[in-house]
Amino acid sequence: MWKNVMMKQILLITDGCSNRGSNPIEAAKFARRLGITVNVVGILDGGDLNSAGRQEVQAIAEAGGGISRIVQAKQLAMTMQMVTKHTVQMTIQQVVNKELRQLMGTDADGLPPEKRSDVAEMVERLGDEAQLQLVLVIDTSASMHDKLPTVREAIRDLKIGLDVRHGQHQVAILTFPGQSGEEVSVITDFTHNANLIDLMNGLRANGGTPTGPAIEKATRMLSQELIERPAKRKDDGDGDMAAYVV
Amino acid sequence: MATWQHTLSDPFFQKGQIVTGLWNKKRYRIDGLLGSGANGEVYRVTCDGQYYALKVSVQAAEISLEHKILKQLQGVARGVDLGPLIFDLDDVQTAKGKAFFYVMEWVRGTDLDDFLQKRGPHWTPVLLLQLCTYLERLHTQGYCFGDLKAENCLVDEGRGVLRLVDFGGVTPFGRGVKEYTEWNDRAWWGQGSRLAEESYDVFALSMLVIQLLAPETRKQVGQIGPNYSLVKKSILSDPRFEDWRGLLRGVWDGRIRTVAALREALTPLVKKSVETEKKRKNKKTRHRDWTDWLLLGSAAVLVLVFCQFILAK
Repeated sequence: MWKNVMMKQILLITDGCSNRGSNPIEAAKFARRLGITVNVVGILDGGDLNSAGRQEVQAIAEAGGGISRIVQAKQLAMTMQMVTKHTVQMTIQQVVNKELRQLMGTDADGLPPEKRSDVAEMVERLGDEAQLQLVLVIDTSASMHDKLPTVREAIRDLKIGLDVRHGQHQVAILTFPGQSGEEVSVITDFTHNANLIDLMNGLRANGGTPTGPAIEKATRMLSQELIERPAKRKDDGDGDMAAYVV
Repeated sequence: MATWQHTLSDPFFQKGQIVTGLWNKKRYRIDGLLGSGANGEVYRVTCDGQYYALKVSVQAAEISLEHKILKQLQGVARGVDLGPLIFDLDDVQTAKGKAFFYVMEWVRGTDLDDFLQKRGPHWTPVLLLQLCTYLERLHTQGYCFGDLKAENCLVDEGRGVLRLVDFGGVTPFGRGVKEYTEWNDRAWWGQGSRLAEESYDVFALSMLVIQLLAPETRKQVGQIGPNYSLVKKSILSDPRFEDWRGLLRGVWDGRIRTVAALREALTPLVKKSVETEKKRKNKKTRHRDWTDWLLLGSAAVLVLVFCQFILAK
């Protein structure tokens, strides 16, 4: 069952508040309804991540059913790995908890501590085997300029981490604001291997921060796949992950 | 859903606070914070007049898995202290919500680099030989240590042994390594994957050697980013690595991929260290202390391993 399940995640990397286009929190809420988890990593270090920025980071992740973390630039690579991995496991844990509640009237945290490791081992294994579709949404507004080399390194590192999973993964990369005036640019789509040389050229710090439109674009990319590949899901009797995600 | 923010938020416990487990009802007094990382915090605690270390996290799964691995290692250790001894596993209600903890032996010790500064760099091979023994045992159990670095090693000066203290990176073979540090991570250097396997730990150990013998190289080169050929270059021209080049070259060109091969490459270095220490002792004509016994013990282990090797043939 799990090998056919596609985990869908958006990972937003930003250092400031949105200031253009639609509301990012609403966009994250919409993504969540489609079974997509939205995670947010806010970067400190000279950016304008004031309390409004921090609140927005948290609110977007909360609306998107995901995790938010605010870190120093040097912690970015590690954080992106952990956030991605934890979200996969969290999604599985929710399904497992649902089953556990039906079977034993408690979720995993309600089991005696010694017994939890068996559940945890299973969740870890399933998380390793599940397929993953991930859209990285990178803030390239002016204040991000100095952090972009770090972001590039972190993406390289994330790929290294994903490569050793047993489940397949596809990664797309979006930047906002886009390169030539538009709100969002697609740097790499799912069908291509993330080419970091493209990314090097693609990441240009400029303009405002249209976070909402960027999340919307990522959601469209992830849900298109959902519509284009329904046949595979129908014969999987266990159903769609999206139905489980609450 | 899980809020997961503790790097920037307050610590779980305050000094002097009493923590009571929800299941086992054991009471621990918090003596102070020993360290904190991405996956939780470690406190020195007191229970019934004994000191312990308590690791706490919001991640129930990670705490229970780490506890399970440490317990398993304790069962197979046979006189070798693989990990810290493990005592309790429980939940606790905190101001931030429910948290999960396990209680282990509080390992007292000196930082690896402080120890080497005090005793001399010729101690490095002796300590690494001990590390090889630990790693072999761990690998036999099907686990890779993962986050092997100087900061995760303590030297117990009283008993003269090296101890590994943070088992958060321990990963079953065949999975992605759970926790790692850039400097010791072969994938970061572009020298292989992040797959948990024996050769991953071997590479990490080779980087540990460089870190211990030339700490400033780590600072300078590590700062520039992952440029492995630069590391090689600086080692080839550094007299401190004269005796180590054979071993390091072996790791670079893939001849040394197992702990057994690493141990073999260490053997001549350990012999030399024993002689260096003897000469030092003779000069000073000091009284015997535990360090003599540690060196003698290491020599004995070498002889035993050698005998075993011959018998096996």
